[in-house]
Amino acid sequence: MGAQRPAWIVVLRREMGMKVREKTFRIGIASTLILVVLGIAALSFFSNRTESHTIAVVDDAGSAVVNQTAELFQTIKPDSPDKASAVHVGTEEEALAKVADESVDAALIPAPDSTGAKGWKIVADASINPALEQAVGAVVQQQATSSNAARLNINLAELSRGAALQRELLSQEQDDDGSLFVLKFVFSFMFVSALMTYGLAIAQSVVEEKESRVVEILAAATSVKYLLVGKIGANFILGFLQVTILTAIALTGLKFVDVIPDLGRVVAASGWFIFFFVLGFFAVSCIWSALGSMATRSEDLASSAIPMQILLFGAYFLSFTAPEGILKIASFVPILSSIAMPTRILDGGVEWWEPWAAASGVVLVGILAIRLSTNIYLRTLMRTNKRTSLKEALRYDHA
Amino acid sequence: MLEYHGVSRHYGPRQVLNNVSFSVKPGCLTGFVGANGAGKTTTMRIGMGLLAADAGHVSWDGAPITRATQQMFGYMPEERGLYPKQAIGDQLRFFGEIHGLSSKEATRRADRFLESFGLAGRKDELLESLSLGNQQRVQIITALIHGPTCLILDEPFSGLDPLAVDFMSTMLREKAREGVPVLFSSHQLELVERLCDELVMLVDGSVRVNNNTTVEPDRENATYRLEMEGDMSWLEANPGISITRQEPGRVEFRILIPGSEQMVLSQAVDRGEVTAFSRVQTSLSELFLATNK
Repeated sequence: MGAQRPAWIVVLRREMGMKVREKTFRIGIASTLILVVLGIAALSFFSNRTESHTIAVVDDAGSAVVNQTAELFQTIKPDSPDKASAVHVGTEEEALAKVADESVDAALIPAPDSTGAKGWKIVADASINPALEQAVGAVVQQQATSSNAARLNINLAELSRGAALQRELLSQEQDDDGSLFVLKFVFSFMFVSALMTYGLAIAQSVVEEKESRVVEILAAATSVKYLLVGKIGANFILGFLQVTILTAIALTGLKFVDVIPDLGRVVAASGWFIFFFVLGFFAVSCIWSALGSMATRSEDLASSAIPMQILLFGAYFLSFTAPEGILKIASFVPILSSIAMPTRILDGGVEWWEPWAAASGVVLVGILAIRLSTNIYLRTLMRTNKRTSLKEALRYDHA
Repeated sequence: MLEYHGVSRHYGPRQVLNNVSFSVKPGCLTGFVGANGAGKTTTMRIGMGLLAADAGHVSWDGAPITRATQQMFGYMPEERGLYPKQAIGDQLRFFGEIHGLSSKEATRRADRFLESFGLAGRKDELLESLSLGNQQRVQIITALIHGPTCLILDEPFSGLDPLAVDFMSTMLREKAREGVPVLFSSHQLELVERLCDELVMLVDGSVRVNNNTTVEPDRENATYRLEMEGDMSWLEANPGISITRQEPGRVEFRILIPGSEQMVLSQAVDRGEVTAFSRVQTSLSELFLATNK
């Protein structure tokens, strides 16, 4: 005989096993994953993504221009500069052929200008990347100015006095509203959908056992507390795996598309999202189980679940639509805070004590909810004949 | 032995059990009968620990019963219930494990039961895909898989076809023979009469008949049948009896004064040839109807 398992683990294994076999569960996971990937794709679309330009050149002067262009990119946008690299070819025809078969983005060819002076021509297939054209243009102009100045014996430094535009940013934060909006949208969706899916799964599992009357056999065989622990445990594990795996995928994706300058802050915010998910899950899971035990049929659950769904969806919409003041208040309201606080961390500018204060609120409310809901669960579980109102559930003495 | 000692229970203002006492002996099939709402299910749920008694208690082998003891019982609730969308093999293993069997042992027993219940090779089928009769078989295996120390079965025969009834009867007898106390409720009184060693009848939450296996009513109210040649109208003048049925050559009468039946017999012998004189056995159905009036 093998090892005997505690009843709550037996329940947990059954719940997990049944859940992962469900088609709706798999579809749910797949659609969340698709949404996260789409979100990241959108993010990369919203941002100015880094471009790598390859330019065919026929001589060393050409590569010098390209190299200076690369340096210029670096100066303009040090965080994620566009890149420019030269591809040496023998002749002008070869360079044009490479442009035509799209193996390079452009070709830089020596060409005299209208005055007959030595100049450059940039050749591309259908369109020239504007950033590249601008940068190459600037380099060519600067080279020409400098050689003309030398030829005319003019001091270049004197010539360009006062010509440089200086730049200063008042805020240390990266002002990247588009990508931040998408990030908040993706992250709060990931976490709200997990809280919702697995919470509702607990309620459904409870009501299914009531509906199919199997609860009577289970309650005869073991303590109903173990049923509750097993159900919550199973859904917690699945939910936790889902959010951590999706977060890992999202972060890897963000690193890959390389659009977030301050990825460190996103990683930290993800940690807080997961932390608040754990706390929030335990606070709401018991409420979900109580909702399940008060219903008698799955149909009843649809209406008793509405307040919870409103609460969670409310937290979701607040996270990316609410003005800062309202979001700040929400970030301290238990359950709402599970989404609102990590969202604020993603925004930046949160004091160190604020997440901990919000977390304490969730724990406090969670403990109350667990006590109250477990009581309701134990009292109403065996009432399989009719739906129990909250008033009845609280008044009803043992079985 | 499972014993109920003065168990009472109310739901709100309604008293559903009133001082219920009886015992379920090892090796005995105890039938539990009563009209709908008489309190059978409540009594059984209290025995299983699913409901608490307001007064009185249940004992097992002489000591107050514990949850641990009750969790070793086999139970079949009145409203059947298993997981419709789970394969029956997985489901039975789950119930075995919930009762403390290892996964391996639970699987082994599930296979063995499925085979002996004629469901071999169907362990991967979902419960909802089985016929009702077969679902009932799975239900009873659920109650048996952990080797229960006592069986409490609420209406195990309801909804079964005659073959399944036969199968269930044989199975229950076998369990009783193994020394397991078996308490089962049923509305099929002929079946209870045929099958049971003992009987408990509940009327409005109180025990009316207890361990009355041959179902003999008390002597005062006994009914007798007299068959003889010739006129029988002289019986009508006897104040000690009340005639309940009268046909040519045959009269059934109930005793009003003890000993009247002996007087009737000697008078009859004096008056003509007596072809039959016997006490009328009351069937359980008649007893049920009489008790529940």
